[in-house]
Amino acid sequence: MSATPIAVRRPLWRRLIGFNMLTGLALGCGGWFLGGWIGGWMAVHHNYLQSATSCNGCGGTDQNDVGIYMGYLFAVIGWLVGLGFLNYPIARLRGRPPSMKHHETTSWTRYFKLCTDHKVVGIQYLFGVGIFFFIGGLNAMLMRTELLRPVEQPWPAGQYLTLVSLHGTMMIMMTSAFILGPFGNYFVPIMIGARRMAFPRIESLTFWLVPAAGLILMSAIAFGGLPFGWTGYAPLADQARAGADAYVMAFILISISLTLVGLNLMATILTMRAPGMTWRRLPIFVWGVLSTSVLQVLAAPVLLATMTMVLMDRATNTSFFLASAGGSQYLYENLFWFFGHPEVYILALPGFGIVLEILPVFARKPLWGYPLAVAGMVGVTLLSFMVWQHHLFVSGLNAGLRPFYMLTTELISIPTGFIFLNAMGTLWRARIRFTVPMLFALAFFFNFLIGGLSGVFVSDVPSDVTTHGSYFVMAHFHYTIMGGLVFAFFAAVYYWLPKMLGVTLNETLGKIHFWLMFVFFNLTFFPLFAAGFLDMPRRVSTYAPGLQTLNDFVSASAFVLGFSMLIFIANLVWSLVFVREPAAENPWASRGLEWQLPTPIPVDNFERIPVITNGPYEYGVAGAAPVAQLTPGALPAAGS
Amino acid sequence: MASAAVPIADEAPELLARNIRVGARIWAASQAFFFMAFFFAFLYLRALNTNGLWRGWPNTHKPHPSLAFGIVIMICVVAGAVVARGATLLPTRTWRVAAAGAAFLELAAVGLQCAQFSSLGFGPTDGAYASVFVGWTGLFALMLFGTVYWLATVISDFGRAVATPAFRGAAVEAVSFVLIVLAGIEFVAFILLYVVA
Repeated sequence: MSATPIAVRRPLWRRLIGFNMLTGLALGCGGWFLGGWIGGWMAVHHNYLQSATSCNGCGGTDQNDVGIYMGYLFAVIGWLVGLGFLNYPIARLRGRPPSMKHHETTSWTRYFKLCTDHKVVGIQYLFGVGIFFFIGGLNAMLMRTELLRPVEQPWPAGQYLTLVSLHGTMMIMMTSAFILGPFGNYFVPIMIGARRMAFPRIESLTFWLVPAAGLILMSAIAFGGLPFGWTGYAPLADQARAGADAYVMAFILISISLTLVGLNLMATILTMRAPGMTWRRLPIFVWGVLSTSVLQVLAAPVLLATMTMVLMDRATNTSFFLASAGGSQYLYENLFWFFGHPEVYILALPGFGIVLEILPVFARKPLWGYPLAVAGMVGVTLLSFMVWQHHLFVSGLNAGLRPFYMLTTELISIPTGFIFLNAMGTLWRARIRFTVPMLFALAFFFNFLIGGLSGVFVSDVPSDVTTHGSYFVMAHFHYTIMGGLVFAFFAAVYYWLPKMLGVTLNETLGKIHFWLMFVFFNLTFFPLFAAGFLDMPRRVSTYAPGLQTLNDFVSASAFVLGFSMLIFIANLVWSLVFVREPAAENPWASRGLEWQLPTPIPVDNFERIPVITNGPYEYGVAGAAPVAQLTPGALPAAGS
Repeated sequence: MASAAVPIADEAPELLARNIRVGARIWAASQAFFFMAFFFAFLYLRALNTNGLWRGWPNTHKPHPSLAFGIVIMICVVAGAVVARGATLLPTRTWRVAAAGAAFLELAAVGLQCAQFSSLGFGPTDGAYASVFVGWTGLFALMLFGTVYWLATVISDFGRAVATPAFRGAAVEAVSFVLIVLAGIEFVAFILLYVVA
């Protein structure tokens, strides 16, 4: 006998105390106090856990770091328990069968709880990471306000340094998840013809660790700030006030998240490609994601280990990084940059993937040199593990090692150059459609070119010695990360948002956003090369009075750059809340598999696993077969 | 919430098994890189011997962890991994006993590590070697404990016939692969921390 189940709507109070974000916050707060209390008890009963000066030369911080770490740890555990992450592991121990699904509904509440639908996780990432990106941007505005005058005003030097550290750390942490989080999670399974990620619960976990990390990082403001920049060099971080505990804990959470994101995406791409999705048909964005995943899986654990060592130095008085007790701060620098430099490519590679994905769509030509693009990405991935010591050129590194690391660093410009070659080949004699995503993609190449060329200066030992620690380096990495990654992010937002949210963003506002951002990004950061050559040091709130005009110009430009972000937010809110113009199913006439699906994309993506019949970039090729057979006997309409 | 071993209709039945097999290998690579940081720290700090404090403070006792503990812990870890790996070759009926034995051995290693910590004779403040020792062995025990939990879920699946044979086989193979990698790491740790130190 079959019976139709009757959906019983639970009362509001019952829904609020279920496993969701509110419960997570409540249990997280409770966990903070419980952990603090346990940590305090531990410190009282174990001498080596009492910081202060319990041993000669140990990193005494005069505070109960154990209590703080235990507070953070229990807060994170409470947060995850409240979200329901413990239910499944316990159920599995009790013999419950493996299941891939959890809260895959169409209700709006799925965005505020553990959900195993990769599309929901993608949107959670988009807004979650976006909020922290906005906070990081606000910090930048405050920094530029300080730099309007060459004297300490309005922030004292210590607070300014905390602002700098918070901006840098927040941006590095969040931009690591900027592309893979929203777009990798949302589109990779669809682009390879799969219905889900390989490990959907882990996918959800990776997202919910990110807000926890962001909130913990921000709590540093209340605990004495971050007086050491985003790199957290020892022994500064070992000796800093409790704000450093927040920094360490936040980085630990982010490194776990990055590792698991990489693992999940890699496993998905390796095992779940649809029939016919050969390596040569794999969308170039997926190649970018795969390369990035390799880096994340191998580099992020090293960051995790490094931060654990800092935690132990601070909480249990070990001496990994304290020369006064047998350690070495150079160990920190080596380990940190072993992660830190691949991190640069963790940021750049998905950007390469996005712009190369977008160019053929709006150039209406096949992607030129597809194998070369793949080789470029693989080359960057391999070389990125062999360059980290260029960050230590002025740290007392053995002079004999410098030429090797200079060479490997300069070598990396070759595979990066492949990507530019692909772009030029694709754009050559193309009938380009200058849509908003295409404008952002083109700007990526302009900015990244400047970032790359200035990178040659800082990879070269003689010139690095003169520019290291100056605004020149600052301008260089903003050109690569903001000029590259953030422009690629916005290209992706304008390109994919109609599919993700089902609405079209206003084109005019999009173009205003682009032009303001592009022009004032360059006006903000290009003069900083000059400031660097004029010896203006990073992370210092005062500077030579003669540099005030230059700095005022930069600050004014930065404020307009910040304003351009507000235009984007206004556009998003306007289009999403007020106008809600439904997006066409394939507004760009793209051949991408994701554009062959209806909007909104069904929970299981495909009715049946598709059969891939052709590559995704056969634009303008007469008689090109459609990209996939979605249902037996029916071929999808593809842009050609 | 769905509750089938093969979650979505028309998904290849062996997909779950393939996912877990590939995921385990990637996870093992991550773990190896995690401990590589401690490997590097050991060699770097030992080579530098900053202020002559690699083996602790002058005129005080030097950190010498019990070799007996080290040998027994390593034997437990390696034997547990070998038994788990061997279990993949056994018929399903006897597999569960072997896997439970492997879990017991690994748990014993974790317990022995805790016991060693309680009677170590030195603390984390006793120089660079002590730092590396406490960090490496402590975190290794933690990772091992997590892997034992994973093994326990696989064992608990067995008796209830809730997973397909293909999935069960893959899960056993995956967890034993990770244990083998952990055993390799433990072997390197033993050589460095007890022999080379």
